[in-house]
Amino acid sequence: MLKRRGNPLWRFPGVAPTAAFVFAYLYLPIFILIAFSFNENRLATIWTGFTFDWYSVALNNSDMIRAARNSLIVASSATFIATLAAIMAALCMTRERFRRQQAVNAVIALPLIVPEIVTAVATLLFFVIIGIRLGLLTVIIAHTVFCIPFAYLPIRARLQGMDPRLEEAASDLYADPWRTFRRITLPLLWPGILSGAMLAFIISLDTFVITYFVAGAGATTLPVYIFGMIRIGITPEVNAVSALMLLISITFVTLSFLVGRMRR
Amino acid sequence: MQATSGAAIETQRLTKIFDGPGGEVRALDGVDLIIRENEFFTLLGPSGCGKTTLLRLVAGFEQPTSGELLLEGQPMAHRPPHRRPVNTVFQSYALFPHMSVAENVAFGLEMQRTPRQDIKARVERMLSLVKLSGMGERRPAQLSGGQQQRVALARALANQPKVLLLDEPLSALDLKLRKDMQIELKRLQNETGITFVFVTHDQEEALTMSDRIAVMNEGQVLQVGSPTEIYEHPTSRFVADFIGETNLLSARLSRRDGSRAIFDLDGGGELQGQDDGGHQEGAAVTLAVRPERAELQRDGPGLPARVEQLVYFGTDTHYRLRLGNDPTPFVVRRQNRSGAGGGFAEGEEVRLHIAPDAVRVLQD
Repeated sequence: MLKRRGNPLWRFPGVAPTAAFVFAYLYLPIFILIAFSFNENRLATIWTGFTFDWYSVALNNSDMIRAARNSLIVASSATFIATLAAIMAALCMTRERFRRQQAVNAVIALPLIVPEIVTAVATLLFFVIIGIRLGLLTVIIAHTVFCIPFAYLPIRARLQGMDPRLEEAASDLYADPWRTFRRITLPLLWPGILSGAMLAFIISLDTFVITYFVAGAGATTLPVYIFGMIRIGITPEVNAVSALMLLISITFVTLSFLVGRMRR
Repeated sequence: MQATSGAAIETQRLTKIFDGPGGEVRALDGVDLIIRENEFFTLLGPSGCGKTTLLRLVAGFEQPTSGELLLEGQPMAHRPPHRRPVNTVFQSYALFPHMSVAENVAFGLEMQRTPRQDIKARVERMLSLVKLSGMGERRPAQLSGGQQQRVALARALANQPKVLLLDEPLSALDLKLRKDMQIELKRLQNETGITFVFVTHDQEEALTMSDRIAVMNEGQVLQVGSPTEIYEHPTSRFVADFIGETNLLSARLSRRDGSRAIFDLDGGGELQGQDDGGHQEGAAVTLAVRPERAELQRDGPGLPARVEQLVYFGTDTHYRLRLGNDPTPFVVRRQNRSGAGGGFAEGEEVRLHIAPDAVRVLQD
């Protein structure tokens, strides 16, 4: 139970049922989705027996595998580029002082606030205007954009928590700026970078709206593919694929959290 | 630009202005200073006096707004920290947390591309110099504050710098450890012969360790001299007040009598001092008298005074006296020695005797 001695909230009547209801509201649909991914019946809503079959069906579906491969290519590329950009931005924002720094900081984090549909439409129009053919490349470019703030925030937090005297000490001990970065800044920043990269990766893997707009033929990613399956009808195969994605997401978010807290 | 020979560090009109949110801050204001080779030189002053800024300018972490900085006669303008022959011991130690103690000490040598065998030997020697032999494999976080402090020292000294800069390195240690490290630092300086530039706000630390002290306030150097000179012959009100305890008396130079000058105290009474010849008759002056240099007697000559309060310190007792109509109390420190005679009681009328050579006439 969550009940802990000393938490004054528990003195009030109805706190426990309310909490239970909220958690059920949040997570029950997901539990049902996972449960029915083990359902033997072809109709996703009637339980007849336990089976792993839908997982093997899903993993043998070549279209699904292709979509998953696309997702991985997009997420890896976007994460790599976004993390590099985020590292440079964070270094600049924490190591230098310049005018309108707050404004620049806000602009970097802006993609977090702009409604996804607006970004999606704008990005699509932009690609059309400059005449670039929609495909995996356009998806990667679009994903890189909104991955940057997710990678940026943990990296900047890590840099801000770093004692600036450490870099001074390195330069005092005859390390030129590049070696100071390689031997001191980068190793100490590493947990922040990993944390940011994993966050960016999982965000890219999950994103549907923007992908749906800018993905051309042959660039279908996993979320777009699942959406397509659902239009035909909900089968336990969809549940199985979704459950697998959930597993990947939870793994990466947990790793990101743990690495972010890492103390060296 | 004339460099002084035998100077490890020389500054000429060195000025540093920071742009703060409330306008410009003059952290250093035209500092002229010569730090000699092989001396233990202390920059002493209250926080915000510019002593740390001066140290950071020497290390190269900050660039001067104007003025000249010479290291061993070489102008240092725009030379980055990694190309200056100085090393720093930071207040927070700034040990690299992801490296072992030995890797920390080896870092500077590695950056100078010293051969691997030599590095190993030098690291061993440095760790034994600071009495941390066998601790090389540990991480800084596994050491106590005092041990971390010694690693920081070893890391800086391993490079055999021309000058070692120490930024309040003892301030994070407790009293007992601080006393030990003071002696340790003095020993290291004697053994290595390296010029130490030591920054502190602790006047006792400065007096016990230094060959020479520069007292700083508000970005300026007020006085430079040996601990004895600074303590016994302060030239300004600030130095007299900041270094140790002192009684400041407002007075007027009344007349001269041979080598003596006779002062009329504003609070009433007369005091004889040595004539420094610096003031006109009738000029207003400030006199400084150390609490341990004044004596109390039951009767005889001297200024009449009344014991207002006494504070017992174990080794000695402080008497706070009312002198004439001077509103600030005059403090006298008497050692509690056997045979020194009985103490005085609160409320007792006494005579305050101040020898002429105990009276300092301040310049401002």
